[in-house]
Amino acid sequence: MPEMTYLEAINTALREEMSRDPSVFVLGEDVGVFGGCFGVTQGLLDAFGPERVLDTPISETAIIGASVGAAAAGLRPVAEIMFMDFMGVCMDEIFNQAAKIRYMFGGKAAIPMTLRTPCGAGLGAAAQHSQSMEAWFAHIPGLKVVMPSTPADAKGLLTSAIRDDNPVIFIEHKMLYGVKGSVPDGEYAIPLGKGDVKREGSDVTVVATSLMVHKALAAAETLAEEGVEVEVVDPRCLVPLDQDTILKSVAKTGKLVVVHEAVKSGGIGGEIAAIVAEEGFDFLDAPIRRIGAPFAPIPFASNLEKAYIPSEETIIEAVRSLA
Amino acid sequence: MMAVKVVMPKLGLTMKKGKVARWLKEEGQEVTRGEDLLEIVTEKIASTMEAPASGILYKILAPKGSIVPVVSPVAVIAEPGDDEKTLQQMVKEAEAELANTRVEAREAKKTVKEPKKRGVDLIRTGKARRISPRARRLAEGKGVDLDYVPGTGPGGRVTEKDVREYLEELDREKEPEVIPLEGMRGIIAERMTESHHRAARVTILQEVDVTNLQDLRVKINEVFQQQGRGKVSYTDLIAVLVAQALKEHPRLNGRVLEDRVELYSGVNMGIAVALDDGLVVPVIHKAHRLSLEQMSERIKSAAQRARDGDLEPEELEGGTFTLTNLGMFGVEGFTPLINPPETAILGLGTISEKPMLKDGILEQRLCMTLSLSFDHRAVDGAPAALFLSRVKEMMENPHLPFQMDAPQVSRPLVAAGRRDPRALVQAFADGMEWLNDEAPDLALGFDALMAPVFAEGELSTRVKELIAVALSVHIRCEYCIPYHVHKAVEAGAHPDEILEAAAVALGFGGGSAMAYVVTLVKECIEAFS
Repeated sequence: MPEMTYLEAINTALREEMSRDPSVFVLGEDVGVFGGCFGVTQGLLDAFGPERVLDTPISETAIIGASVGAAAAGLRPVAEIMFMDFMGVCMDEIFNQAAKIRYMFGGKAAIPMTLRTPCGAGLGAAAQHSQSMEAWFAHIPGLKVVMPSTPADAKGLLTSAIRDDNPVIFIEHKMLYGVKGSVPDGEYAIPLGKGDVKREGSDVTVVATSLMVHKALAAAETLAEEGVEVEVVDPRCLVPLDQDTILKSVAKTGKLVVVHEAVKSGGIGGEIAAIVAEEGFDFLDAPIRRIGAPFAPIPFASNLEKAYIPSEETIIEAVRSLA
Repeated sequence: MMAVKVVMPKLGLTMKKGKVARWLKEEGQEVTRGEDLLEIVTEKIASTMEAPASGILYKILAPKGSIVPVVSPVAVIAEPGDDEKTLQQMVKEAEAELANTRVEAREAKKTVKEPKKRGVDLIRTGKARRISPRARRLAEGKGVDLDYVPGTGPGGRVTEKDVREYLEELDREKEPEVIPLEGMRGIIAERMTESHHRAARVTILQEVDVTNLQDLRVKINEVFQQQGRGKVSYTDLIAVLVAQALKEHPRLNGRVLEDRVELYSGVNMGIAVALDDGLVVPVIHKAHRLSLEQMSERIKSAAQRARDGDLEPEELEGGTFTLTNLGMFGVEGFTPLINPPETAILGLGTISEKPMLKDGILEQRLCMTLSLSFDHRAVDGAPAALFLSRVKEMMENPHLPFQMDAPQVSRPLVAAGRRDPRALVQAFADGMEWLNDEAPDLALGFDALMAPVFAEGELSTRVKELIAVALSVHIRCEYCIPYHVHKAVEAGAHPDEILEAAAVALGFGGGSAMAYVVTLVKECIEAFS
């Protein structure tokens, strides 16, 4: 299997789906000539021309409004919002329009659109360019929410997202764009709503999303040296959520740590913990631990930003407290 | 005008309570602001307190001798113009306040010691225990009573692992460890059963003072150490003595067979040696001919080879008597089973310090109990007891059989020792301080009793103290004598007077009173005059 970066994997998926299906097109701020703020749409303009790679005005409302309309009319738009932090601007188009149309038209209309956006801190981009807002979207019926952690997952899940007839919020992590991994040859799709066990272990389950999957895996290495075998579960999709994979793992280990980069309060970790408490109470051999960012805006100063983002050490400490 | 409460002052940072030593005014007397009102004594200082206001000392709430927490009321001063009703109301309130603060002080003292215990209780009570859902489910499924499962998880939580380990332990506990009665165990079983069934065993006990034996052992070992030899054990010493005693009492030295008793003039002494899992009795042949040094070497070598399993068969045969020692385990006395077909076995108990009366004087001695089991088929109680008393005699005077000089030992007497009279007075004073804290009522009561007894009256304090000296001697109280001699001196008594007073006790106590007069009384007079 060839090695490629997370960014290349997403780019490849876009190319493949655009080649496969002429109704797929890309739109967003600077996605054409500039190739995207982070370079994800590099080369698409040359390959597919200005009719399928649209540079839009700086208006998130317009981008999503256009996407919802195009999708309702039968196209498969893949919109890019440059930073997830900007999604408040187009929120009505997302949660009142995109999420509701299929339901309100009794299935006669569908919104097969994909909304790609990068989340996450670590670049020193401060409070308005670093957030992880996935819990907002997971709270809205009618949206699917995907958060891939590896190049292979990013490609397979984006393929499925584009082919899906529902609006999908596809959340990329800007600190993962350069991460390399092997990606299967050719076209392939990973079904939405299927989690993945990234590492098997018998002692403690760590459910982690996006960048935190990598920190959990690194923590698991350290803990393995202490004789604690950590199972790392990546749900990959928050909606639909693969409850079975999580519950199965907790049934095995009896202990659960949930990690995400978003603020802990009101985060998706609370949802996962609650599901396990409801459905898997008898599996639990210890209290559930949640790890998330503190309830504060993301600091600009790099030392403070580093302290703000959940760390490998925090995960190790949490696992140790349960093991 | 308003009546004024007089409160116990806080004279230092650490002062918590004070004692009213003396009131300088009586109820109803006029007092002037700034005038000395009462004397206060704390653990550290004595002080005089001035009246905080002018008026009439209306009511003393804390009489002489009371111990009162700081800022609690001790008296009420009425100012001109106060009406009777208001004053009585105030006294009532102040009395209640005083009673409360005393209770609080007592409660506060109690609660200081308690909180730890509460923490323990919380953990121990079932409701406060933390049990993981997984552990609970497993326990319910297996019918495990979680009260018996110790929690080893974080914060003492009972986890699945704890329940599983408990279950495994339960399984293990059900399975007995099987030790077949074969090999050495089989032989022990067979021989002990035989002994128990056939011998008409009687066990007699005898306490022996081994103080001299210990001194001798120390002495011998000092010599042996200089000569580079191994240490001699009590067993070695006693084996030599017992072998000599058996020579004198051959009825105990022999074998009981079907139709006859065989007595031997030579002693083959079995020494019971405990192994990790078993017991063997190597026999020291011709024990009566061995010197202490030889005996010690033979026993050590036999015991070592017994533990290594290197004993020759003949070393286990031919015994005429056995010695067994459980003293190292703290056993006092026991009823050893006879090693068949021998006639008797002597068990050695632990050596412990005991108080012993010797010629009416209490002494601290080292004692060991001997347990002699003998076969009544072969020997009767009286000869067995005679043998045992001979062993005792030898052990108590070990220098005789070992032909050594009697050890010069002096041990401090428990009582009647020479002590510093000032230390005795101080010890009593310290004790009263302690009592003051622990049981203030008791201390106060004692003070209240003693004060009028020794107060100046028709008889002067000096005379009363002289009487006390005589009584102290008569009752032979080693604390009273120095205390009252001291007090008598303080009250102005001449040493001759004290001696004469003490001599009065001679009339009643004779020689033993004289012993105190010429020792402690004499020392006290010298110390305090």
